Amino acid sequence: MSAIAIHRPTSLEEAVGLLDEMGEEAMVVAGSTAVAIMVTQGLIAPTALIGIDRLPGLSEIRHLDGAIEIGALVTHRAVERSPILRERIPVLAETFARVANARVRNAATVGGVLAEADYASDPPAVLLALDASLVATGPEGARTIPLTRFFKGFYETDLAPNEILTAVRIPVPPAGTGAVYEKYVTRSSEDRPCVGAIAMVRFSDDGATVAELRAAVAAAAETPQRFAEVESAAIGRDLTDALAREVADAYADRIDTLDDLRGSAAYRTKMIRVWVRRAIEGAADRARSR
Amino acid sequence: MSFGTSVPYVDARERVTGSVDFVSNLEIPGMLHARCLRSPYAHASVARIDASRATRLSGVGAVLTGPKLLAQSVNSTFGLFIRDQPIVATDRVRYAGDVVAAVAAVDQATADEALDLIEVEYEELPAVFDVEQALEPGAPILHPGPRILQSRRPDILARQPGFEGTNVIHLFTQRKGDVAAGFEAADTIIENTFSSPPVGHVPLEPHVAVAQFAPDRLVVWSSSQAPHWLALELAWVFKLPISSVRVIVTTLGGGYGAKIDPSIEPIAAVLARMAGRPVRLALDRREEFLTHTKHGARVRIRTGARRDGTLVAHEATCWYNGGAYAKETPEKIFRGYASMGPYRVPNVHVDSYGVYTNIVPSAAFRGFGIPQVAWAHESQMDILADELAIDPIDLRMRNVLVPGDQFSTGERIEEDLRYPKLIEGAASYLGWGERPVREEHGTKVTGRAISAIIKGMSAFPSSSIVKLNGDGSLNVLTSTVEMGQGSLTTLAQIAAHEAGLPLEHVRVSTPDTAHTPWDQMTAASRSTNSMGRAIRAAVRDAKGQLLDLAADRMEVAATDLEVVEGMIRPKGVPEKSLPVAAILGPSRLGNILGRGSYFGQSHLDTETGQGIGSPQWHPAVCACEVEVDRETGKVEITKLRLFLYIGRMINPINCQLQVQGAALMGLGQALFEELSWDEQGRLLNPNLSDYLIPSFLDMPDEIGQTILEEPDTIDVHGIGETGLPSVMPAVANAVSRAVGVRITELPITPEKVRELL
Amino acid sequence: MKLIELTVNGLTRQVAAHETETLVQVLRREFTTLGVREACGLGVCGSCTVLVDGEPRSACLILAGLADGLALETVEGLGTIERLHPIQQAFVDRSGFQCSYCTPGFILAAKALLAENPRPTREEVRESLAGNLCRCGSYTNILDSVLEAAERMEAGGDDGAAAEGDA
Repeated sequence: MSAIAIHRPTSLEEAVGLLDEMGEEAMVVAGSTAVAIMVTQGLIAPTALIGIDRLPGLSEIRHLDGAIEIGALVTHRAVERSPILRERIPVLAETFARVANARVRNAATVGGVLAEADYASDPPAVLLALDASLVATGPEGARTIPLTRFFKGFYETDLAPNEILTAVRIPVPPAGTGAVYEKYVTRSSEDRPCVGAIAMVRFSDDGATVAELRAAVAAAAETPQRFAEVESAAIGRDLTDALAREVADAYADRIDTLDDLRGSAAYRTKMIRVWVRRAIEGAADRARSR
Repeated sequence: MSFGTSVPYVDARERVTGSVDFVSNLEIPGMLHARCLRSPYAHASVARIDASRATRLSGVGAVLTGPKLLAQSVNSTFGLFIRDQPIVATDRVRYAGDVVAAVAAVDQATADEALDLIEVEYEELPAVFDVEQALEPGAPILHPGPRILQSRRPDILARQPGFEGTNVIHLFTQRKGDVAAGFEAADTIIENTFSSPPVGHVPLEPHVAVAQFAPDRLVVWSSSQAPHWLALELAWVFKLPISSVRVIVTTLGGGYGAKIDPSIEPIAAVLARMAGRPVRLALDRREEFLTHTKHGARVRIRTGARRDGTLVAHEATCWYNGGAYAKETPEKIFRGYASMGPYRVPNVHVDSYGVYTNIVPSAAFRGFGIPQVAWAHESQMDILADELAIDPIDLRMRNVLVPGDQFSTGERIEEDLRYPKLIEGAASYLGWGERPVREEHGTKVTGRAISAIIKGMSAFPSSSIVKLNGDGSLNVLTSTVEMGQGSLTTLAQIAAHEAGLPLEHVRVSTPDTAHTPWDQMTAASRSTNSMGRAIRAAVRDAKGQLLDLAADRMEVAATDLEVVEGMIRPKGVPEKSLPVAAILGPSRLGNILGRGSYFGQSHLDTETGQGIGSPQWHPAVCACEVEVDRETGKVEITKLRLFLYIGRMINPINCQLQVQGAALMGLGQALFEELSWDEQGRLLNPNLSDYLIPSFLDMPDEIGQTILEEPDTIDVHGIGETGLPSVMPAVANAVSRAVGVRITELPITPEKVRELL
Repeated sequence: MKLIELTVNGLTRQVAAHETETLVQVLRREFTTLGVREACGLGVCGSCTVLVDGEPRSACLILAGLADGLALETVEGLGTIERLHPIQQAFVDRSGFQCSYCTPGFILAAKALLAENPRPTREEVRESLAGNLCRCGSYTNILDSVLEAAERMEAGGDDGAAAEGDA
């Protein structure tokens, strides 16, 4: 094994400084789930690891002006169990609860899953649908990145090499919103998804017309997929089977699906039709029962 | 008496405290750690290999390459039937993952560093991956040269000369009756082709071996399921007498057939000899996938039947994909004898090929060749039932073997395997006849079906020695390998029962080929049957000597004495009991040794496949209910129940565990287990994130087994594999019943089902 | 190479480890906790489960270089052959294993589950343990063992006393 330097900065500024100094030679490690695998499998060989999992102030979940801010070091498990999130944004807690297994969830962080941008992850699509934005800190200070601009491609994000994610901000969905994340696996129940679909529905006072509809798809393409124009076209219309189908089909037509061991591109397209529709139906049920 | 009782494993406490002795725990002072360099190409000649920089790396003890191997006075290839696998590649590599060099160093990290310093120049050769393409004229030939054959099997040897220079590893043919006439007489003929992919055994503990060489003695600790067979092979490789080769096995973290064939042991042994230090070679998960797989296979099956469902003719061609090296393929392909299933069929014509291709070599996998043909014949039976508009249960009942029937091998199976009862049990469990076999609810459709299979056992010898100690306790010396199937416990139960001793006074050894007598292998569901008989014979031998001694002392004829719970007494007269120690002590013998062996016979004619296929036949029936989501094609198994007849259960809980394990492996193979290669023959999913094995949540809501026993016997048939082959076709039949979709290629993925809906 | 401090089953030691080796190797080598086993190297199978603050983690995903100061529990800290923990006793009594390579992982996962949910339903047990794989297929018996353990521990009053069932 070649020599590797371990750094444990005690402040965010120190961490950013180190990262800025060392550039591509250094790897930031939070929960160490993905990074550990990359190192042990020989996929990367950094000369330095910057361990940030003990940095103070990045592990809180708190209210912030009609939004909830989740520190980047909050683990999946903490999101899963958070009373605030289970009450205000249950679909987020439910989604994080379904990632991998408990051991991974006890270590993997919210910042980590976003920075890694693995196409087969569940949380990114859900956060995308929730209109989340990220806070990233670099040598020049902090900036806010709407998630809609964050995912660039296959394992590629807008994060600069010398930036560290520090928080995720999620506007609390308006009262009456129902949301469901459907995680469709084609093999073992422990598999990663073939297609993930989140839908959020809020009805107008008449209980039948769409006041707001959002949908996003995970694991089917290089990045999580969401189409604002399809969503807005649903506003003001009765939420019928036909509308749900229409939205689902519109997503299926727009997404450039990929092939992997969990399904072919063609199959994924078919599954987007099914699961976006089912997610909408489920979200509508939840909205009605609120 | 503990026979028939669910006693806990004798090593249960060790297992739950994590202190059971896996071979992967072994450390020897001075031990080096070995790693292997593997070919990235599916087929290539090794034009040049330069390991000089690796050899000079500090901390490296030995580097093995082809030229260095050939420079030693060893036989450079090994194999249980055809000795075609080089210890490391000499002239060429034959699959992506084939070992081209190996290094032993002070630690794994150094060994890996050394591997990076080895320069290899490959010249790619055309490769072939498909079984039928491999047999076409002009296909690249993996083993063009003469074959080195093991001499033990004259039937295999007799046929081999015709295959040299081809990609036919071996061929099994079966001819019974007149199949042409049979098809003439048939009212309906159907023909279909079924295929199943290679699949990974995935023992959680990967292969591991530690080898230690003295100048003319070799000791190998190995995770082997066949220690004596391994010792024999190593003795041949190193040109040593078998007495100078010692293989020791403690306990395995799973085997399932992956650990029968030698693989890493010769590498570790050569490195140990070169380095002059013990060498440990342990595979990582990726390498485990690159070492052995289950045979992928294609089976083309043609069935002729009369209008009333009576089967009259069966013709099958089976192609078993042996991968790059022969391993046990020559024996496995004999399972073509079960390609028509557990049915009475007078006219049979089977050609069963084992084929070389440039993928990971195939080895024995739980079920040993039966799952591949069962997938075909049981799918075919339901297709036939539909074709004839006959109930699939009725079709099977009409044809299934009953005592006295002639099997495909021409033998009359006199034993009552209870097929009708097993089938009735399965049918009744599913509510057959009481409710529809197909029910719709919204987007989901339920379907119910069964399958019936027959499995044989490999006939190999087992022998045992028992040592009755002065205090009346018993040591059983056996080479059966404990790999979680509970043999240390069940064999002790058998011995205790036969000896009349309390279970706590009986201890079964683990294998050490210097001390425990020959057993061919722990596999084929043969240990409780074959080794059980050997142990019983050994115990009877010892007991006979003991009772002879006692007869003198007690002034009763030996034939009138019995041993009960460690006490010798005249039969039925407990008041006159004497402890065994009271007899053995004064004798000053120290111990009494008993020996026993058993060699269940099977022999099939080389051309006609007629004779005796197995010393013991194993029947199984599977009842399956699925729910298919019509929109996604996803299949959920809601009910899975295996029906088995096994003679007698030694340990019921242990039997249930084995059956459930087999059922779950069947479930995995039915729905999602599959090894995938890219176009260059590189394995795409050699890890547990990309290759999935069944988890807790994949278990059907209802999963169970009905195990029929014959209470008045202590004939133990064996149970480890039997249920597995029945699962996959039962699932396919249930899916077909539910949504009218017939999947002929495993696994039954949602995408395949959806495509046909 | 560096020295890291690890507390394993209450015992604190400084051990030498390479920065990028995982805790599986370090624990086995330096603490002889042979119940921590490598089977997948990806955090998928659970054979290398350890408990950190009572929560299950995969030791194969913890790099030694970042583990300095970590305190963890392995199955060796639970009970001994002479005095089994009630969970271990339950696995013995209900035969919750075959080859048992995965068993320590399941036992620790069960410990974590029962600490949080002392009376889990069958479904809750299945969900909670779904991330531990058993190739031998002992799931039904593992489920029975965990439910039995839950009963024993409730009856026994606390989860630490190994007083029962060590005959």
